[in-house]
Amino acid sequence: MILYSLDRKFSAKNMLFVYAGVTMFCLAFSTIYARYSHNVSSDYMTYLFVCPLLLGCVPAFLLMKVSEIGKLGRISYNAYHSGVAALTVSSMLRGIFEIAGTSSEFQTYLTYAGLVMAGVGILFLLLEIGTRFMCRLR
Amino acid sequence: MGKNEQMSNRKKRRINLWALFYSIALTGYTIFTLLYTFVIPRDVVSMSGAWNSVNQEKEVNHGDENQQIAGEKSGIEEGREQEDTMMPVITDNSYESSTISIKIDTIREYDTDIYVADIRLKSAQSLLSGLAKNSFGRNVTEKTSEIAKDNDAIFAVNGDFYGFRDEGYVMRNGYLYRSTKRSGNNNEDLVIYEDGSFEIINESEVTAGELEEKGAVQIFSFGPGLIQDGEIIVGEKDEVDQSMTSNPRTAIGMIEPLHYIIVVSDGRTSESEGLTLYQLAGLMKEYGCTQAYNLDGGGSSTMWFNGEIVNQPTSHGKIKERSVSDIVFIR
Repeated sequence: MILYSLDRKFSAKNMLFVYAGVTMFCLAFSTIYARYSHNVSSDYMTYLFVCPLLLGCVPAFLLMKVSEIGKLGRISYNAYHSGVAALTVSSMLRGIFEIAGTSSEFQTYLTYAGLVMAGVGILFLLLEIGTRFMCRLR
Repeated sequence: MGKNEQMSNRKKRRINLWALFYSIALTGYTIFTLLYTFVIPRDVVSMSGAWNSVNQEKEVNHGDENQQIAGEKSGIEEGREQEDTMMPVITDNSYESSTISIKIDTIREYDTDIYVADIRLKSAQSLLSGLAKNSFGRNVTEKTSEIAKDNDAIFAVNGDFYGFRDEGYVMRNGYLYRSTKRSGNNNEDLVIYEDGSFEIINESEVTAGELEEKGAVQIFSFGPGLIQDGEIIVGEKDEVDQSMTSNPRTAIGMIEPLHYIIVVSDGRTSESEGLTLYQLAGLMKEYGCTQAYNLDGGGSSTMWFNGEIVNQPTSHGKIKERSVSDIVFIR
């Protein structure tokens, strides 16, 4: 069953396709980067694909399996995906910096921003689901 | 157009706008972070200014005593100048004057071309360090050969590339530029004292200020240390950060004060595989070093002598000299 958010385009199925694409891109990016990094490696680069896979594909797959819970709010939707994007980019930056032998505080800020946004997204999603559940009970 | 359809379109537009705005913001932030980390020069301090301030400070602190020392020093300087006026004998791989002796040997070990400079000095003041564009700062870079020429060097190798990091002690020619300890386990530094002696220290055990008081004139923060008190201190599997392979290397070692060995190895080419840190340490020990330290390697590894690059530096897969923050040179 498909879970609708705001529009048919943003169904869980589409979300799965998009995140599968991002996962493949990350896998290709880290593989190519490893070829030119003179055997210097970073776990953040090697496992870059894990972020969109675990935070994108898996939730999308699970949402496809659960029963329809109605439309989701824009805030939770945008916040969560923005958070996952920030965490993926942050992981990529951390990998690049570790391989180069340096670091940046701006990458750390991006990680915090990603965690906050993804957290806000999940919180709003739970609140919405909770509210609807309560309404149904009444 | 129905009311619901209008609402849906408006919402879709809002989503697209957010996605567009966020994509642009995230891309911009990523580009800024990369440029800030790798390209944009910052926290720049002119080295000549630093030298002046150090000298002024010393003058104020020492007063009359300083005048006496300055007199003695100027006598030494005059003596050195007179000695230096004797014409040095220069060949393709050696330099011989009354104060400086440099002999560069090219050897082949571990499928790698290795350049070994045996250096003997009369004065520790001949072992100096130079900064790119004569300035200290993050991302301030220049090629080893250019920094060497700017400093009228006879011989030079790349330094520790301090400008790639925000942490680690940095002292150059007696001026302490950075006293921030490095985080993590790999925080061994090379300290060169006024008398030309070397010491390998751990930043977690001593402050930069204490080293300055002990008479340090140069502190390099890359590492790890290779040999300490005649013993190899690097493990067979130890590497710089996550690197687990052979690479071009630069190392500096002391046999005794004023007698040094500087090694640069090629690597990352079809002709030369490169060295592991353990192989490098073994080589330094073979040459009799009692203290030895690994400087920045990889594409940075460059040996320059008498206007020519000696080794084959690699940068982005090509035989090309890379710009670095600093050099160690003989003058």
